[in-house]
Amino acid sequence: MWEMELVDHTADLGVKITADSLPELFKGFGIALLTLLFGAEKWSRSQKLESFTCESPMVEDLLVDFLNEILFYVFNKKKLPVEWKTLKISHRHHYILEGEFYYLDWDASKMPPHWDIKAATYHNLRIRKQNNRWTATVVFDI
Amino acid sequence: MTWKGKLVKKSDFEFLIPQDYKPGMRVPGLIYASERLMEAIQADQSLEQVANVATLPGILKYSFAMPDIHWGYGFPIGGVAAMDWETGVVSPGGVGYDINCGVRLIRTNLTEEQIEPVREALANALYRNVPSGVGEEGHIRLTHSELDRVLENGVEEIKRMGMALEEDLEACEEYGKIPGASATKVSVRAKERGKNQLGTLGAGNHFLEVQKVEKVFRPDFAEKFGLFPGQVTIMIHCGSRGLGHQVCDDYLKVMREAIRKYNLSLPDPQLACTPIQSQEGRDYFAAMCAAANFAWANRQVITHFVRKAFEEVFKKSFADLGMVLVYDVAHNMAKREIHEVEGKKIEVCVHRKGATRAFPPGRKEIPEKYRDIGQPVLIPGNMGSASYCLIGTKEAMEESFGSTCHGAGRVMSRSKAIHSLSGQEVAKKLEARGITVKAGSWKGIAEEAPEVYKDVDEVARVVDMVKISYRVARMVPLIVIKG
Repeated sequence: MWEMELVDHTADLGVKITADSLPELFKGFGIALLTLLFGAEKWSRSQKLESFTCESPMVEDLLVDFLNEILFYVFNKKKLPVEWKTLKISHRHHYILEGEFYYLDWDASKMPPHWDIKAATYHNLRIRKQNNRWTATVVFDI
Repeated sequence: MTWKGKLVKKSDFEFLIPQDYKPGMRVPGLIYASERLMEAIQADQSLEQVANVATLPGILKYSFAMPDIHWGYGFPIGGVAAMDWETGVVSPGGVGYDINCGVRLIRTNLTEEQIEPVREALANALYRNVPSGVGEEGHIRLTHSELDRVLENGVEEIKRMGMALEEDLEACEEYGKIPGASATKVSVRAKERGKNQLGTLGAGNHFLEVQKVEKVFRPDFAEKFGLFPGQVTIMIHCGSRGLGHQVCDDYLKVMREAIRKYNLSLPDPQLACTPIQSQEGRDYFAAMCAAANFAWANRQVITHFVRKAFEEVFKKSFADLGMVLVYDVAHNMAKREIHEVEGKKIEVCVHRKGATRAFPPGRKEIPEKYRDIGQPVLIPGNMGSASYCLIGTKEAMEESFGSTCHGAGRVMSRSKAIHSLSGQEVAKKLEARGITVKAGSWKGIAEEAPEVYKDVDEVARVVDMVKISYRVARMVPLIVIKG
């Protein structure tokens, strides 16, 4: 379970997610990013599956890398990761995210995005765990 | 959230954040603003970011804020920080994602009356010729080697492709080709993101405007720039598109590692940086310069298609229409420059994030035709107000590392703008004032509405009053093309 809240930022766009677990927090940000781009769509089910891995030295870096990777999938591979089948985060020397998502092919002419989100930033980013809930705020560069 | 930090008024248009405001500040913060602008500036956390930048190693004199400052991420937008080239750091956050986002001004020999009968046709031709909007691709397809040549040679390569004149090169900051660029330091992914985007505007605050010179402040300088009242001009505001964003993203990751490697302590992770003289610093600088060349090339290709649109509508060659590039400036860059600090000439790395170079007369970096008066400075406004052409001064050189403002600066967030303003209403109001708007979406118009920006006239007045650049001409929009 996760909840999304928009955070006001003068030039850019902030999103706060609160979730029951770290993987849920990441999933929440992934879906929130699609919501920012295309609105609160009720995505149709897809059978097309793609695997996804990401590795970063810190958990905050992992979140930024994860979101920037999604932006790359959307804008360059034209694939919308609409549902996460699996998403696992482990930590050895680095933080590693491994997952699989169902995707829909994206046609920009039929579904133009609402915002020109260029990247997820590290601006004041900290992932916190409080009362068994995980929370973070990410500012996206527009 | 209002900023309630320590602020000392130094003069009518200068405010200081004392060095003891925050532990780790190496220099004070200096903000150029009027009392009126200061109210808006203090409404967000941008001044805290000015103080944060003041903690970076090697920073000289001040962490500067221009009157159009607003809240960014890491660095404020409208910030200037000069670091000692030998001992300082370079920060991708001090340049921004849109490397060499910048502005160019093209003059014509047309007047407003000649635009009127063809206004709609011209707006449509421009909208068709210059792709705009999120992720939009351009008319040009580059091979990998062509893209590498654009990255290393900028506008020079576009000239080779037949889309630029020798005079266009001369009228660009760095002559459209900054030295030190290396395509090998740009990732495959960055090239992938940029290769089909040459000649595109993008979205957000980027625009293409047909404007009219509404007022001339200094006729002698205006004449030298070829500007006169009632004249039609064209302003292009855009940057390095997906390629620049990816370069920034790639090197922020490198810098995050570098912070640990070089044991740097930062108040905000987005300030990630590395010593300029480290391998990481040199690699970033070479990649940033390549992205900057891509941005200059992008604005040049757009210029080519703008000239084509005018030729199509007016049935005359662009040369006969007097379509001459006045100048092209970068406002998101880190540059290697020589400045005088405490009586000594030293090499510095000047970060201008949302700030414009404003060099005075005599500098060799300025094209010969302007060298006796100073560098043209271009300040884009918003679609309902005005844009400015200013000129660089010796005061800017002495005070602010040859830097001035870059625009109006936002006061309202994008999410608030789209919830409180209607794009249709904004367009209707502009149309009633004789401004034709073509945009990809109503939402795009709402988030860039005139009321979301500071008063650009006040911003220009402040930089003029503190003499870090002088107003030369004020241009108002006739046709606006937005993503």
